[in-house]
Amino acid sequence: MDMDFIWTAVAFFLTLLTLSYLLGDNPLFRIVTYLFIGVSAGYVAIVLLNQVILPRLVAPLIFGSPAEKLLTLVPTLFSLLLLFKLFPRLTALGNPSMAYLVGVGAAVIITGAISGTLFGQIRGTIQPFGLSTAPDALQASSQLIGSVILLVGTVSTLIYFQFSARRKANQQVQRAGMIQLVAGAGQVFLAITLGALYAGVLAAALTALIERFDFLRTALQSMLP
Amino acid sequence: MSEIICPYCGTSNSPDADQCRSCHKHLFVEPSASPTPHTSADDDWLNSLRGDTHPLPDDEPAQDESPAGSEDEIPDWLARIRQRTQEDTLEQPAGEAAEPGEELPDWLKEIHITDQSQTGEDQPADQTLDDIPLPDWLAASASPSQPVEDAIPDTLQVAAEAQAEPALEEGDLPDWLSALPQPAVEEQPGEESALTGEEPPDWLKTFGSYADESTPLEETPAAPAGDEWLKSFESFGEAAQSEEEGLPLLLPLENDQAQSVEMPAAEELPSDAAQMPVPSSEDWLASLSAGEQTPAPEAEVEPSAVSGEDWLRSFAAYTEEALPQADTPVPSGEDWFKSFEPLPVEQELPASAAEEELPPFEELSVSAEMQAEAPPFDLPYSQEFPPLEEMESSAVFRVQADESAAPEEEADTAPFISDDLPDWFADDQLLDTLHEGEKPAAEGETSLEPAELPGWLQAMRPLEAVAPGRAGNDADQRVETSGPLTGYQGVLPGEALVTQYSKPGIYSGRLHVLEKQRAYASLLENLVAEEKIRQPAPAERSAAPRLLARILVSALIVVVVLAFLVGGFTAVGLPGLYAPESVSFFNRIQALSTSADTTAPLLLAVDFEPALAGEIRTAAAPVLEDLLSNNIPLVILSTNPTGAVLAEDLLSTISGYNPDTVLNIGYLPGGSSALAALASQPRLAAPTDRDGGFAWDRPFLQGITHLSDFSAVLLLTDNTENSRAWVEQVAPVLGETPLLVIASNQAAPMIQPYIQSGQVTGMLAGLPGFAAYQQLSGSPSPQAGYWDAYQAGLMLIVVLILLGSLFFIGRQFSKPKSEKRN
Repeated sequence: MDMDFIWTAVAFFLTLLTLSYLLGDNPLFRIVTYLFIGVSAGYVAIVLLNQVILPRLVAPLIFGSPAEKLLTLVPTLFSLLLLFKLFPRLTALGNPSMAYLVGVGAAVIITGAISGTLFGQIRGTIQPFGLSTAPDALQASSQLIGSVILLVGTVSTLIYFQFSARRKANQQVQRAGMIQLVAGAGQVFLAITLGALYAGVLAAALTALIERFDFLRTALQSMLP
Repeated sequence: MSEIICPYCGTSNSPDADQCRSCHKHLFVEPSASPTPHTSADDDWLNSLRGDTHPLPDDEPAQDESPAGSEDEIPDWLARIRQRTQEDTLEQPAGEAAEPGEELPDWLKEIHITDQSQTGEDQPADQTLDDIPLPDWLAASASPSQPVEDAIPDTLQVAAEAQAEPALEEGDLPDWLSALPQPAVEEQPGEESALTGEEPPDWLKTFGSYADESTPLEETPAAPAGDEWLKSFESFGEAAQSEEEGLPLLLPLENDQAQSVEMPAAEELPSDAAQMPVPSSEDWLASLSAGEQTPAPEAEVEPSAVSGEDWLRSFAAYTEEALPQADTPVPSGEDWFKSFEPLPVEQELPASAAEEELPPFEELSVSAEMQAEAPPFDLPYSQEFPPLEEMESSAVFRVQADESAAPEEEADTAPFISDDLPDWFADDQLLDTLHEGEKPAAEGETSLEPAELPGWLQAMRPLEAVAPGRAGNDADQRVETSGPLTGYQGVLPGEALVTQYSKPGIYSGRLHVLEKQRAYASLLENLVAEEKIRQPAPAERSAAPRLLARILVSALIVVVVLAFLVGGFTAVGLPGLYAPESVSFFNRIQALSTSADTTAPLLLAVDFEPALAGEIRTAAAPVLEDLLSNNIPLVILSTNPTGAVLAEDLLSTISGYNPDTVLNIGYLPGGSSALAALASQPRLAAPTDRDGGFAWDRPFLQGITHLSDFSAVLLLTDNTENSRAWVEQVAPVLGETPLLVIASNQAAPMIQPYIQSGQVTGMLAGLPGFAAYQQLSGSPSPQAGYWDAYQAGLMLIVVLILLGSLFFIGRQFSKPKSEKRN
């Protein structure tokens, strides 16, 4: 028996068990879920051991040059200290490693967010107003409309998240009239964005379902004589 | 000293003046004849004395009791005093006093005046010390019932210690003592006093007579110094020396002026202790000493120094003892102060005590050596002082008086108290103290007032000390007349308590309620009644309809998808309009495929989960096929542990896959940090491939040192965060290298802004992107049924959403209003 057939049969069977969730939560679905979690965790552990720890930590310490060994001592020390996080009494010893991870990670993310997202999105909002790139007036006008909509959507969405308001006597706390109006427009843009995300989730799920049905069909065709 | 102070205004007047030159009032006032305490008019006993004493003519020598040689230094007023004293002693019985002292403090003057007035009224000579309005400390000391241990001031202790030292010598007397007229000791015969040639006052006579009875005059020593009190001190010391335990006690009092007192012990005094000299010139103090001491008939004390004030003689008379004949007047007006110094006590005084040096008063201060060397001494009147260490610093001078010498009925009178007494003296508390001092105090009870006790000491007192005595109300004078407690007083009235209670009265419980209040009450009652009504519990919704709906919807979707996927139905055609990012993506892929330089590899980043592998694989398959068909090398990298294997699985399904042109670096741990490292130094960030070998020795990777050296970066992702990390960390270093993204539909909306900003060159999103790419590439898709099923499924979902919305809208309208409120 071909191994591909076996694994195809296993995949077919597990797919059917997963689709049993359409009838509600059942033990078959749970079995598949637990199996998936276990296999994924084991695979990740193997991958980390095979692709990270051995080639990047153990191998340099054993087979590397003195310089590599010396450089490898730093991550080795931090890794060993990180293991103390498993023990509540000695968890403080892992704080240096965690501090290093959090500090470096935060610095990298903030730097990338400022340079990659903040500046990039500001430029992307301003750039469409450069109508000189438009080949003709019609496209220029359409670009201008699109730019205005983009600008209004961006500004109104940002104002929507402005929750500052003044308290007046015997009145409900609410934002100023203009701010409230612009925030309402921003709320519309937010609703459209969330609708797009929801539609994307539905589309992605539907695509996955179609792919699984196509797999079932293919598997059946391959398993059936 | 030769001046008269006006008692009214205090102006100094000449000795021969009868009226005050300032207030023109008579300077000399007759002493009050009233037996009651003196009034303000006769406060100045010195004036009264002077009123009786006419100035002597200048040529008339002043009658002096002091030995020869001191007449020149004796002021005339003192001479007159002495003269008058001698005259009075002839006329009046012993005990009268009329000798004031000049420059005395006011309070002492008042005392003198009072004493003088009393003595002028022939007050009984046996008047006790309690009759004298003394200062509080002295009054407390006068209490016969208080133990001496608690009443001795520190200064007396010091004096006692100093007394243990050898007596002062003549040549070492203080200046103020030296300034006094000193009789020539050598010239005075030892058998006689300095006044043998003169008429002694009565008290001196009595003293002397007593001395005649007990002690021969031959034993009376002569005064060693030029002052009579010193002579008396010496004689007293010698007299005490004859006794076994007689020892003079030097008790300096801490006052404005240095004072010392020497008091004889009663039981150990010579039998003629009453004859002992009272060296002080202050009568009240002399009376103090005499009033508290028990006459000792066997005392052998030689009087040596006697003040020139008559009130002291009254004290001597009060003692019912005769004053020694060897009484010598002290010419100083501060005799009362000196009189404190030499008093005999039980201790023996050396024979040469009088000749020994008397240390200055400053040297009489407390010192450890003196305390250590101080032998125990006895106070007069059979009261022995405790050790100095046991004495309280605030102890007052208390002397236990003999009860026979201080009858209670006499102690009730306070002849010295008048309206002009100072506040502290006229205070009721002082009077109470005086009266309390007359009563025999319990053992251990101190004369201190409770208010004077420090806080810490009050806190340490036991409860019995705070609330002594029996419990109960003294006002309850009822006496039990029946029962076993018959005859007892203060018994708890149990019967009365029982009978005093009666049946309580009947009160109306009816409320006076207004109509408005009644309406509110009824409204509240209705509200509560409604709450009490049990509402029918809503029927538990059965899971069957929900399950049925779920199965129905699922079945619809499955049927529709399978119908269009398997059945070959075509609902809609392929898309004719393409998204700009899809077009841009296609153009970049086509540019890479048609490029002459195909040696530059393409970095394929696989960052999607197995759950959405079907969507990504569907969208990425034609693209990868085009790339592999054009022999574009691929370097696979993943920030997801499962990405590498998914990538291999993906490539394995693509025709034209050549492993030699594909390098799977594998998993890149570190997330955003790893991407940042990869962007800066890709060789260091990912040195090995998935199998552990060196990755960068491949031929197509020889010229690759930066990410910008890759022909393009293709990102396969289903996660917004991962795609944003790639854009933020990698895109800035790519330069002209395009960043292409094949994303899931759920991540596409969040990547769209980066496409708008130009950070992402192109993107294929899900099946729509796949269809667009297929349409743009013009190749028929082997998975054409996907698009039909996808479109049919989406339409079904839209229909279901619309139907569901209409159903709930209709249901909302069909509900009654009460349910709508809920």
